[in-house]
Amino acid sequence: MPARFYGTRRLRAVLRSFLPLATAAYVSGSLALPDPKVIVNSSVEVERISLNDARLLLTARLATWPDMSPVTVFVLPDDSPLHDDFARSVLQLFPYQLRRTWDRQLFSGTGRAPTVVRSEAEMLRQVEATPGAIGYVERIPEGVDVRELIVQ
Amino acid sequence: MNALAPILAMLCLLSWAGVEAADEGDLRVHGFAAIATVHTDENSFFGDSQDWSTDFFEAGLNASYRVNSRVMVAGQVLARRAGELYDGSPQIDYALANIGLWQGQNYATVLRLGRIKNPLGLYNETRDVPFTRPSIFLPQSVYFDETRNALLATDGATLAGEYRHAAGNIAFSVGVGRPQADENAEWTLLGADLPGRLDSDYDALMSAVSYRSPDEKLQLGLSRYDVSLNYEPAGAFDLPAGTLDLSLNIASARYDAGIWTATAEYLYLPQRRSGTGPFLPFTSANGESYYLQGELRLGPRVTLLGRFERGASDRSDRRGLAQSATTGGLIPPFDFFDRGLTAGLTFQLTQRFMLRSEYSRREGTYILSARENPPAGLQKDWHYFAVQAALRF
Repeated sequence: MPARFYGTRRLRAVLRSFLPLATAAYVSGSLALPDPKVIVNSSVEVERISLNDARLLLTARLATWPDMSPVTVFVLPDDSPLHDDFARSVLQLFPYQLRRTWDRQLFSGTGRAPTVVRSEAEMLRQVEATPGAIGYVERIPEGVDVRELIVQ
Repeated sequence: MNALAPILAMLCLLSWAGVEAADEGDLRVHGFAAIATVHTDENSFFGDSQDWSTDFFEAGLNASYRVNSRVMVAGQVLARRAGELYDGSPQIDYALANIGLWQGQNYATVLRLGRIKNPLGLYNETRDVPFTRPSIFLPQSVYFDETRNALLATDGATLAGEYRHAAGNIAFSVGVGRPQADENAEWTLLGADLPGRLDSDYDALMSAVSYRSPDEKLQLGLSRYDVSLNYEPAGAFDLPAGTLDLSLNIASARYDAGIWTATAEYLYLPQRRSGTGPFLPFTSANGESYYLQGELRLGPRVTLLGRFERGASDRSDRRGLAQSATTGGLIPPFDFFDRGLTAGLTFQLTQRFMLRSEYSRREGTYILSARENPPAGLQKDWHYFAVQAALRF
């Protein structure tokens, strides 16, 4: 039931953005939603990454994979509930911290910002089609050629 | 204004027409535009503000191209009108090549060549992009508008690096090159637009180091910029040739706690002048400024801001009495300090569109430009109110 999941995630995102941090853990725990999954293009040979590396990849501060092939990052819009949940529960960052890092790089010419896609469906399509791509989804549907990257 | 209008119109048109940030493979194009209106009860701030100035525009268009996995080139054209100080004609804001040098599991280093924005304090690198600021105007006694160009960017080379450790990430940047002096620097540093030229024949040195805690909540930084400007007289009736040494030192701290962010920065600014003769009363001064700022997020779209500021052009004369006396009282004491209290409200209406307003009460006129405010007309107590609309793509 993706629609209901989406609704719950929005509720969780709204609660989290209004409540202090102490209650956020309680809110996420009580709703017992699975964390969003990090996905990569099938060309990427890495299977597990550290939290620090996940942050470096998603903030576009790490521009290449270990084999020196370029990284392409896809994200949902800043106000998307899934993006909010991904930032907080997977990267353990606030969405505005990601935006601040991207904008600083983008508007000083020292780095880049990720490509913003409009929906999870487009996210899956782009990550599947772009070598070196990384993104995130709620769940990985059958028949889509992307791999899950474990963040530990 | 004339030069800016077509650019602004083009950006608005592109944005309203729904043009996405271009993202064709290795080439990326982005831009922004903002317009503000400013009102003051006394004095002039960013234009003729006692009569609702609309002389504050910012627009930029940038592109980056990834040549290969090690090299990325990028550039931005900026058009900025700010009252009498900047006329809105397009300038090259930055144009550089980023060359990845050594990279490993825990470290990365990059060499930058070209016109590079100076990473001074938390905001200087992207100070003209409204979406990267917490307010319409950055705290002016740390981020002066009038000498901004001399501190904005360096034409030269920078080496930057980052080292990641379980105890946090350390980043550094060191650079050398030519700063860009302009007539606003003359107004501020010499008191008028004199017949000769204030120039930067010497290389400036830039250095910055910062630390981020492992949870990325705490960020601490130190940055420094040493500049020497030289005055070339235009003839016998001008000041003699001389030099002006400036050293900008900023300590920065920021803590992100989710719904709120606390920020503080401190600036120490020693200035030394030599050779320009007996007509300029101050040969040295040690400027000191700081601010404390809190941001409170009421949900993802609305942010409140409060800020407390203090600034003095010489920390040994915080009330400006001695400095005023050396001008024979021509410049009032309150022109040598600033005390400010600011409240702001930001609405991020959509990903692309932002509305912002702010109100600030000030005591002292240190942050105002002499170019817009002749000393005789200055008023000690004043306030400003401003509204800004900004879009990006």
